[in-house]
Amino acid sequence: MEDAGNIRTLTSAGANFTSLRFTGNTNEYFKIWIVNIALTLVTLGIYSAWATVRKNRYFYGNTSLNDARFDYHAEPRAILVGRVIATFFLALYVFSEYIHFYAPLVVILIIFALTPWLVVRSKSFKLRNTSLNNVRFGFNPDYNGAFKAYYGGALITVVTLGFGAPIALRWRNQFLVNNSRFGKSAFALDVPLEEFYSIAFRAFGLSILAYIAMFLSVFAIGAMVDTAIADQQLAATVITYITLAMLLLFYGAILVYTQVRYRNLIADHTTLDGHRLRSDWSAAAMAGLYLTNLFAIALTFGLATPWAQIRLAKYRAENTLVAADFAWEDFAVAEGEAGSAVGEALGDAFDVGVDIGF
Amino acid sequence: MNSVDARFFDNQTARPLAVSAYLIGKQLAWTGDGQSAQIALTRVRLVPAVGQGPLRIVLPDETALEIDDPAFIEALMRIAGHNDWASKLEASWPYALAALVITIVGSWAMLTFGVPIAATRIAQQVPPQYDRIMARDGLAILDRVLFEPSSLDQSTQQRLRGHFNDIIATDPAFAEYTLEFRYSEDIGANALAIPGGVVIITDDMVELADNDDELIAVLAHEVGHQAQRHSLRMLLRSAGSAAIFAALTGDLGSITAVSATLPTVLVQASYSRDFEHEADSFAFAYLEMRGIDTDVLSGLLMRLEASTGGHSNHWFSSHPSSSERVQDR
Repeated sequence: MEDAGNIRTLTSAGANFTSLRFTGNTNEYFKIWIVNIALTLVTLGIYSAWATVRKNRYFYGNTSLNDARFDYHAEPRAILVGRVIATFFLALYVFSEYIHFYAPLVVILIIFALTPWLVVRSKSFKLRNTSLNNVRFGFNPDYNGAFKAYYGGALITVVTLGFGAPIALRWRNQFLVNNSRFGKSAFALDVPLEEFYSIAFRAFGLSILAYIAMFLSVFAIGAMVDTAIADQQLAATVITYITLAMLLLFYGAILVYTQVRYRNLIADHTTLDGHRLRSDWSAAAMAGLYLTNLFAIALTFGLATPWAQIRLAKYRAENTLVAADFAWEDFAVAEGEAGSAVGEALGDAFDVGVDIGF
Repeated sequence: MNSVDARFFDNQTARPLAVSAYLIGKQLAWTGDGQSAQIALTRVRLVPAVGQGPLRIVLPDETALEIDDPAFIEALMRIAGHNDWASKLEASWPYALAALVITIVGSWAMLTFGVPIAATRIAQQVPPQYDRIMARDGLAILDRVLFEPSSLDQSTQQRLRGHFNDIIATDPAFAEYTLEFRYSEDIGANALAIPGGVVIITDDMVELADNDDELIAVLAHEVGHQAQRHSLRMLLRSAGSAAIFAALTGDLGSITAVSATLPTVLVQASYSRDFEHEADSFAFAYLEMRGIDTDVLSGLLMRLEASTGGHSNHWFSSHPSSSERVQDR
């Protein structure tokens, strides 16, 4: 019954890589998932903080590297407080629109002003509460770095009319990775800028191809629909929906492609105390996973969610590799600074970009 | 009791030390790899895995032991008196099925009964002045995105205002309600009740009506929406539903995505049927009081249906079908 998980190994550029292993299975996780939802419902949402911790503990606890298990240690009460504050900000954002047309903009500006703080606190909270073999990860409270990476990045993107976006992305990821630690051991990201531009240009090229393909196919399908359906208004509606579906499909595919390529790029250029990481995610495989997950969840009214989450976690883990040229005693425990669940919850609620990295 | 293999983490490095652990009464002991110690179970923190997995035992100095053996874990937990109720619920199919039933019935009940009742209660607590603050910008936004000035002549506007004033004269609470005339190509023949007591009627609606009695019925219907504060309650309902969705999926961000923004709420005004019925009863009661034939509302609705081809009109689509209304009478 228990899924032993798979381990991939490969040798590249003189280093022996071994993959993470994921041992979670749908049969077990489905029960955890549905019990957590029911408890969240009957406690009017309060249990959601405990549910989040249990979910993370299941996924982290079933992820291992050479028999060393990850674990998640966040206090549910801290997460609850974070969520209450984040919900307050969200309510402020949603309802402020009814008070003044520009009021939501003020809320967004406040969140933007808080971004460096939010990113540091959120990242600290996540990493501080993650451990591998009982050694906590950590994040240096580098507020100056956050200020430069996020505001500088925004500035350069705006000033260059978007052409500087890869520069901003590189800054942001260097900030996020270079301030991350496993115990006392530092992560480091050293990646040439042209690699970011290469992905950005490819994504741009793919977008143009996708739009041409969509334009042509909408014409072709439109002609077919026009002859097949006599009612002009109905035909127009059908064509509108087909166009919309294709737009979402192409947009989603390009989004997955760029996310996966950036993720691989960053992981492949990240080292932990000199030990290399590697990410072998395939954009096609990930797009396939997302698409089948989407259909499965929609067709089962959400009941396939645990299955979808498990297979995604399995694919991600088994295609994330670490150069296994270290001994566990090389990694020493550090005194960690505390993070803030408020930062994490607010960052999540307003989608402050902290998740690219590793 | 037999000893089992365990891993000891010294809180210095990530290296696990292989030890054997055993229980002596209410004491946990371990030896091996240079370690030899024992501690009372009351002084340790037990962290059972979620799902199958090792038990983590955190000692006061943040060193930790990890034990895999399920029988040993069970014995230790029993002796320590640690009741891991969450794991017990999560490990059984009967509980999982019960949870599934609770989830389906519970979310249905909350969305159908809980949220509307809560919305009504909260709306009663919100002072009417707040509605007026909302209205100040609501109409301005609609004017920017949707409406053009009315081209109805002054005498028609004057006459309809007279009818409107007659309706709001029935209750001192309605004194602040106002009537606005607008033209809109997008929404055609329509009437809206937006927060703050503002009723809007479009030129097309006025032209579609055969006589003033029909327009009185429409105005009374919209005043009914205002009297029951339907726009505020609708807003609270959508916020409540979004909150439930966010709590269930654990995704706060979905609130911003799901919750409707002001112009959509105002225009779509996809009031639930109970709101429409409440507004209808208000209108019918007013028409009866004035001795106007109550069929006028249905008559106008029928014509509205014909004029829009039965679809693509928000005001109409959210209203119960005309035949259903006639039956309701």
